[in-house]
Amino acid sequence: MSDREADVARLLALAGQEITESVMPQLTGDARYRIRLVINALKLAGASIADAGELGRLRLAQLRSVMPTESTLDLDALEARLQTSLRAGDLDADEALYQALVIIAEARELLVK
Amino acid sequence: MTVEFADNSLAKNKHALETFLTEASGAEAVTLEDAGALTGGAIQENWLLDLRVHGGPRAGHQQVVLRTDAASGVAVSRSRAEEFALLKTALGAGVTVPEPLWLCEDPRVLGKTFYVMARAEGTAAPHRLMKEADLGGQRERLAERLGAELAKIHGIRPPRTDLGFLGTPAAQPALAAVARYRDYLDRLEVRSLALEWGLRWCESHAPPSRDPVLVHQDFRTGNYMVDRQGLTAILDWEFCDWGDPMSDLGWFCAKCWRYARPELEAGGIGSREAFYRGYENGSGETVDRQAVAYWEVMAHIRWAVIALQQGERTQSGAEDSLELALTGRLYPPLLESEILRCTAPSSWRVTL
Repeated sequence: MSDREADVARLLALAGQEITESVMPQLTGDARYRIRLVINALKLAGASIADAGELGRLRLAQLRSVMPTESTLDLDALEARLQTSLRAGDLDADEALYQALVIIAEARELLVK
Repeated sequence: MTVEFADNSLAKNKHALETFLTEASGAEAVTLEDAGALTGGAIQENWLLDLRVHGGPRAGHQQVVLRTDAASGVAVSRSRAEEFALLKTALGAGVTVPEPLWLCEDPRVLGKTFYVMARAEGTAAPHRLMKEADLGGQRERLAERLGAELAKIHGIRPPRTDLGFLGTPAAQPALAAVARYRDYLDRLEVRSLALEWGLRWCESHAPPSRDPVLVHQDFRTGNYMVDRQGLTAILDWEFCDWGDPMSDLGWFCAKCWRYARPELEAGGIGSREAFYRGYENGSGETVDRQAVAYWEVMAHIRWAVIALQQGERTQSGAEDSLELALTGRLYPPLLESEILRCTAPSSWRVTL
């Protein structure tokens, strides 16, 4: 993450903190629900900036480990190849793919939690 | 009159709406005194109307709900006219629904089709059900009642002339769903290998077809209303179709609809057994537990696809909604994890 990205992520985190601590306690009902949406959006935007492409690199590394013979493919092409194989039933119950998907899913989940 | 009403689209069409309501209700005159937007419903708009009815069978002050389309809808959502017909059929079958009152398909009134139904008491808000233990009455009884209500819905079976718009039931609802969700993902240009993994599992483990019934397809906590005594209404009939009855049970029990109470397997409000007991007593049929488990996996896939569709509505510029934008970004990753958890390689029946 660059200094500029870190600065933006920090700004979003502070904005979320300010709303959570100063604004939210004064709200009830629908207004409280709406401000919670805003806080979630700030968190999500901050996490995306902080990630700085890390998730993409993880996905590529994991999927390449499933198809080592396709090491020259980029992420998009690799995912397209795997999607076709999955739909054709060529990867049914494939342990290596499953483990890669679990690792990717956990990383994706961490970004939104 | 609320500030909200003075500035909303209903106020602009107040006279036309009053004229329609007067004719439809058989009154001498109807005055629209107030209207406020109700929360909930990303696909439809719901308005609570305060009416003063002069003469006719409903004379006096009335609170009713007007339901119409939001700015942009989901492709699979039924029209308001079809939803109105479904409500009438459900009411006739003894399902606890808000009484459907009047349908208006004349675009000169509001510019779009709408219908009016009786107001149901209570709340449908899941966060309140999670926090307020006495809401909905005794919870095991509520779970059982919901099972019985679902059995009544499933008692509606094809062919039905009043539900002709539902078309012919799919021969294999599970496989039809797999094909539909793959098509949606392709059209959204979303490539999710976790969803593809789940879809392939669903394709290769599809349960045998059973006789089609009317399936609600959104029967879950958040889509029924309760007061302190118990259930007051089953809502949101916009996704109804002919289908596999076990799919509705799977949707209701799916972990994604248990909110803050995942240990309460019947919608976060009660035990699975109480829900099944209500269903079995109401339908006279045994719940196929394995098939329900299958449909719970499908439920997570379906919700992930819907969330992606809702997110796309904001990305495409069709609608500016922070709620929809967050839905498309927050839920799919959480759902993918659950789908993978339920479909580990050891759970596959494969011929190697």
